[in-house]
Amino acid sequence: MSLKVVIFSADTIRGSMIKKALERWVDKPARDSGIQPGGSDSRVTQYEEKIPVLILFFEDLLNIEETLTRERPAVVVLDMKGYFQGELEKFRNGCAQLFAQAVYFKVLAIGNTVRKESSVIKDVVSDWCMDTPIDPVLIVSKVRMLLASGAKSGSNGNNQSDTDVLMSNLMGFLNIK
Amino acid sequence: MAEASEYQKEIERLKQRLTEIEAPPVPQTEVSAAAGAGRPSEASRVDAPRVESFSSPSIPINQNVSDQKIEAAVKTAVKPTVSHEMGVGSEPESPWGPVGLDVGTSNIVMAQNKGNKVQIIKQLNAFFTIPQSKFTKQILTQNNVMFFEHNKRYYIIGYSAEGFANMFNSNTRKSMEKGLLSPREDEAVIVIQSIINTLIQKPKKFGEIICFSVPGQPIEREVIITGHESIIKMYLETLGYTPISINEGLAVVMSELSDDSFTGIGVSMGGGMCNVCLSYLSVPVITYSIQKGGDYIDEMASLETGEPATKIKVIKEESLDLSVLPKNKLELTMHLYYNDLINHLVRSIQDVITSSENIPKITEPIPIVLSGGTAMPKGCKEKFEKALNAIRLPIEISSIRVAKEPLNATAKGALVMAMAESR
Repeated sequence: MSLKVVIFSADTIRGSMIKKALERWVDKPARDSGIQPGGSDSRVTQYEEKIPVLILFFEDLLNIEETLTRERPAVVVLDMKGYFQGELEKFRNGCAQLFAQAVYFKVLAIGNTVRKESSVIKDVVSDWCMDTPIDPVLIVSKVRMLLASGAKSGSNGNNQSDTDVLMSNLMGFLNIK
Repeated sequence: MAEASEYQKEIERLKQRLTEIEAPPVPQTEVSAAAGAGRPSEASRVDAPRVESFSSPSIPINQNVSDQKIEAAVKTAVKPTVSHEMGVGSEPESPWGPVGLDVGTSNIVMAQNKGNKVQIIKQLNAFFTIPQSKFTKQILTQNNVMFFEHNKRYYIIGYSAEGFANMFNSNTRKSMEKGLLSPREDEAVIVIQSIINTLIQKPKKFGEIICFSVPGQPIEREVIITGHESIIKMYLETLGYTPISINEGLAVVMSELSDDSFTGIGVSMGGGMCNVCLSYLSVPVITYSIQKGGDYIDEMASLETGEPATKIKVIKEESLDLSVLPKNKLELTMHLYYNDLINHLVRSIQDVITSSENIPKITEPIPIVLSGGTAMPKGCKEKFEKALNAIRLPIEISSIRVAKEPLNATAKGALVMAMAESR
């Protein structure tokens, strides 16, 4: 199963930069991981283990629920610059709705970190990045951490991934827990 | 009973589903549309998904089609080029594969892939008109002169026009001025279409991608670039191509900075204008132009010295050395106006970059590449470097270099883009 990272940005250039930086990381995951080849077999396997990652870029937040339900990303990167307050509220409401429907993902917000406590989307955001100047290297690093934490403990603070929830429900139904 | 058996079947299906979930995932490879490098001219776009999927060395890697195209495009950037001028009597090409087209003020250059080389064909972007007559038409046809008839006059185009202008002791006329279609020439559109027609015909495959260069928005004044772009785009569509545009500065980056992950500043110093592009991983973060180029130096030096601009152009291209002291008044004048152009260019880079909010945080120094005929004289790079050292920029510059083939870099970069975007 491939992991998906969905980027939302009102600015094509900023969104493209983030997408290119993530794609570049995807091309060289082993080098960035800092794990060297050689050593024990498990470390060699870990070096060569590569994860398929799909990176998608959208500009508008109008159909946020439909988009995220369809794509089921592991991480959503939201570049807040250029979006209106109403659009950000729509994003927040859409995310909250999806979490209630057990569609989980992590959200990395790129915005004014000084005012993040008063931001309308603070309840659904897992991590923050400063928006000016945009730092693609830091964004890639945070996306990697969110993907790793999502793989271990599920998404957005909830300890169950989508698959885990389904398995748990099925096992309960079949009375084999 | 029927209900019970159905219930049993349901249980079996769910058990099977549970087994599938618990089984380890099988790696999959998906083929998707090429994401390629950024498309600067399209304002709103949802990029096609790009899947990166790898496997351990024991399993053969199935590289998807888009990766192969991008890899081929990047390899094109380092291929050797074979270039020649469009000769008298030569037939235009019907290309097989993507095409790059540099629509410049002085020259129009076409690039296409030919095996392990890149073929470059140039045509002079100039024309000359003579009155219409049957006898003249016969002579022109017999001598394979490129011309067309319009409004009871013969329009001689390309290199042929230069010969005629010399014969009549006159100057050629230009369909483009300062990088854009000339507003002073009523027939500019038909002339440029005819000149492009001398280089390329209908493609062998309908809908073949052709990437043509467009200038950036001038910072000195409000100019509508989209009109110029649309006219060329519409014409290329009528020929049967799928045209896409690329900023000239970005084309230089695509041609020369493949080893730097297409991150750096590309400067195209042409005849009509200088185009600048700051690119980050092939995304054109900043693009703009200044409406001063080689023609500005020729015109100003001509005004100062009284020598014809065409003579000054020849001296500038063949013997001017900016690294040594000027030998005469003409060379001194050219030195002065070169300094003026370079200082203006460097100051514009400082002004635009420091005022832009789109600049990403770039931790490593980035290179600057100069290309175009105006960057070719010896000593130009050193003058640029000296001017750059006198200003402060928010990003660190690692090196300044001149393109390997300054006259072909834009066309080659356009070809790289066309190949990355081809289907």
